[in-house]
Amino acid sequence: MSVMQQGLVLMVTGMAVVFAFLVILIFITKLLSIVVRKYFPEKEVLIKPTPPAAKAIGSAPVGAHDGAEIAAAIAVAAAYAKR
Amino acid sequence: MDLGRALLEFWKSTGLVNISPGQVVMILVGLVLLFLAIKKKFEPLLLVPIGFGAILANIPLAFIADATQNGFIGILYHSGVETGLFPLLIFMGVGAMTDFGPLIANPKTLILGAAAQFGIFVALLGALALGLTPWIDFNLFDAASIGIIGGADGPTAIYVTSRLAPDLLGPIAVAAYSYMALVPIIQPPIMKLFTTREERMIKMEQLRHVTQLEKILFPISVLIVCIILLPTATPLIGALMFGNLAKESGVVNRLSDTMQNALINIVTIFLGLSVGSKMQADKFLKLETLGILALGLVAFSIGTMTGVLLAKLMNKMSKSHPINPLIGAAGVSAVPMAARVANKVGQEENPHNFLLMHAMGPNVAGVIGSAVAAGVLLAIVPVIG
Repeated sequence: MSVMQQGLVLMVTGMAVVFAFLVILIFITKLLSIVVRKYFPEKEVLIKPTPPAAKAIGSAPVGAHDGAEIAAAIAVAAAYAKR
Repeated sequence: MDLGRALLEFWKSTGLVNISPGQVVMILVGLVLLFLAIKKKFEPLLLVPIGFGAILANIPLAFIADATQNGFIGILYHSGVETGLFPLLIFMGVGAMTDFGPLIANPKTLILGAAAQFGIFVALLGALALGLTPWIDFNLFDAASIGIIGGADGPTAIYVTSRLAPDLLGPIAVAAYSYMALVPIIQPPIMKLFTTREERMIKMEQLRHVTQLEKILFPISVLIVCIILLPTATPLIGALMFGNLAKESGVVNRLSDTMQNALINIVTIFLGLSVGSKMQADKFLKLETLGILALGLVAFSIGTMTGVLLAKLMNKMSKSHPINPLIGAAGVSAVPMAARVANKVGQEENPHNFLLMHAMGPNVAGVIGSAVAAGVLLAIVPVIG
């Protein structure tokens, strides 16, 4: 088998396994969510905001979106204070 | 011994006499890395130790990077990088910092983390093709290690390379980390090329709330799937999921806190110095290094492209739950930089569109995806190579 053929074999098996693995995970995650939400629902039904995503690994620079988010938060707070 | 002789011996032991031109070049490269880190703020947490390690490793007569002479960075490298220990400890910290919530809320984004791994295998083929030329010598082991740069995951790249092609650790680690720092520059043009303005403006539905129990069971389920299907990936996935379970279980906050702060910081120092120390003139100043840097860029770009294209396809197929194709680019991993980039490019078209949360799903899926791809390479390459 030539080196390039070996490379192609690796590519096909590699992508197939990666896809198969993650597709299986999709089903397992869905199943998990259905079972948990049906049989073990959380007692408090408070509407919580979506949890914050993974914290910056290392120190990623502050993104541009932060400014907009803070501005939105300030606007909400201001509107609330006026009431 | 007269004074003249003593002075001569001293003169012979100075850096000025003993330094080679290659070492001067590598010390300059180290200084450039320090400049990028300090002045330009490019991944300073990585580039400061790597740059300084590069300088220390190229000092004549000091043997700082030589474990047989008990050089301190040599010992760190020998015990932590050659063994694959440091990348796994980093992965624990990454797990303890990662919130799989957005992924659990929208599990189909997992598949975007798979699509973006295509770059790994394209770069692998590219490396093999380069290996056929008379100037560059890459075998299957080298090609697999070069390809994994496309996983956009520094620890995974270092782990695989330490197992398959330890001689290439220097250039591969440098390529992996520098492209991670360059994600905001590399990705946006590719993302814009393969999407229309309308697609970039697509708003996605609010993600549902994920319960704590789901978050506790998720890492355990991933590990079980990995044990069954791909044991060679369990060191990486196991460390990641251990860190994540420590965080989500809520009963070992002290451990989780140590993993995501003290431990990962200590290991980052050790790993950075060790990686920098591999930038020794005789090993680094080669044609192969240029090839690795070029292929790394190819891997990153192709991964971004396939991620975006699959997200486009998913959006076409599900009309009821629109998917903004930009989040596909986050599938390359490079957490959380790639997700921020997706969010930023989306906001250029529509300032009120917040894609960050939606992009975090494919982003953390990309970490799992690259670890799985690494597991495949580790399982197959030693057998057929």
